[in-house]
Amino acid sequence: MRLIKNVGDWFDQRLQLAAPIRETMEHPVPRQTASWAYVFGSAALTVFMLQLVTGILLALLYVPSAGEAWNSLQILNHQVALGWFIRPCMAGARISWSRSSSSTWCRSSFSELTNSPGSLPGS
Amino acid sequence: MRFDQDAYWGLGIGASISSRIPVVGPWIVNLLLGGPIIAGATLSRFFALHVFVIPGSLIAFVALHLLLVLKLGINDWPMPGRIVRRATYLQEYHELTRKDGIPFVPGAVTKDLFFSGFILLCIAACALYFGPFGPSGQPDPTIIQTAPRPDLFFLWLYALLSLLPPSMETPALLIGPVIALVVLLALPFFSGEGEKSWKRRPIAVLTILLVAVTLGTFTHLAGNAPWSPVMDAWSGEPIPAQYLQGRTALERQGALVFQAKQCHNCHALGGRAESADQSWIESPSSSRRINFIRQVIQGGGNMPGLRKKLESGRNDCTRRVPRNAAPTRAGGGS
Repeated sequence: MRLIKNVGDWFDQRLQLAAPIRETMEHPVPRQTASWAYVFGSAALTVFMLQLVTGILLALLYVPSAGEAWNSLQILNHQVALGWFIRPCMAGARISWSRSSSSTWCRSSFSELTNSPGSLPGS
Repeated sequence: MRFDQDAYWGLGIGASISSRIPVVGPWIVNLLLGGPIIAGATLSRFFALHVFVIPGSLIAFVALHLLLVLKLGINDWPMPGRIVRRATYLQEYHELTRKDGIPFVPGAVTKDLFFSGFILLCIAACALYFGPFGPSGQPDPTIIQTAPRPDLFFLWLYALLSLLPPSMETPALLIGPVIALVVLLALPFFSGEGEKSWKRRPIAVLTILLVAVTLGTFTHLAGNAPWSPVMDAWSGEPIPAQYLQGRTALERQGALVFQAKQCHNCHALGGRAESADQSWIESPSSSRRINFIRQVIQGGGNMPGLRKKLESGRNDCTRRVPRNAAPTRAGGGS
């Protein structure tokens, strides 16, 4: 245990990341925003990361040349294991990204729909 | 990156829109396509945009956004009667989080995690169920047996461009987006304070409803494409016997022409259409007869010219059309 702590301390001393990460995780938010109306922003971040991952996977096999691109898509669809699954995941993530980010924007105007106004302190 | 027929023709339309920009149009097309036409350079250019430029700037902007969320907080929910003031908003927000805040982890993150997981499952389920989208046919301009369509989120634009009169296209395409951008960018400056509750902002609510209904209507229209000719006349069926009884030999020969040359894709028989068009075809008076012959020979409107299809004498062609033949749609035989 002591060894693990020493190694951890050494990394933290070199990287200085523990404090900012802790601060980020514990930053206070208004109590009422822990609500289902506020989940779209993190959902947008999640699908963006899904896009990055699926995008990298597709870029491994996609051939960006006018003569080959169409064929490489056919290969992705029909020959590569799970290629038929990764391509729509990418497209679905793209659609969810736009939906989630616009939902976040709408929420910032309409969130009282899902919050009970009476629970607001001082109101 | 789906380099197929839809992409090819969609890009062609995008390039032709850009080319209408005054003065810099051709230069922008050149920049966009990497040359005057869609070719290998175009794909490389869009690949670079798609793989480096756009994700890179998205990562940067998302990071900036998250930093601001941490520093400035999240948008507090609006309440009727609670007036937001630029000068005091941040102070009030931070006071609220200090007095009645909860730590983001684990207080607020649980629902975020659940919903993110739910979204990922939904995407995986849709991917399993629907499978990959495209590619459609090869991106080859010599293949003209194609009906390229834009993706779902551009269908409203497709409908708008199809329905606009040609003279309105360039102003709508070049001025409309500029106005929309300026309004959106200016909005926070003249509308960032005061009531933020939707219950006190009827114009904002109506604007969003109007935009949603407009986009929905255009998307729906694009699904039906009512501007394309509908070939749902009685194609394929033989001409009913009632139209052939008591006709001259020449008129019956006309019925054969009518059947063989697919006239009935657009023209109906009998009184199914507007009376004006009907009488026009039924018995062209001498003054309209010359127009009628010109129409059949040269075509015009939606109607193709039939000069090559009707080999024999020109004056016969009017009598060859069976009586009562008329367009099924307004404008179908114009």
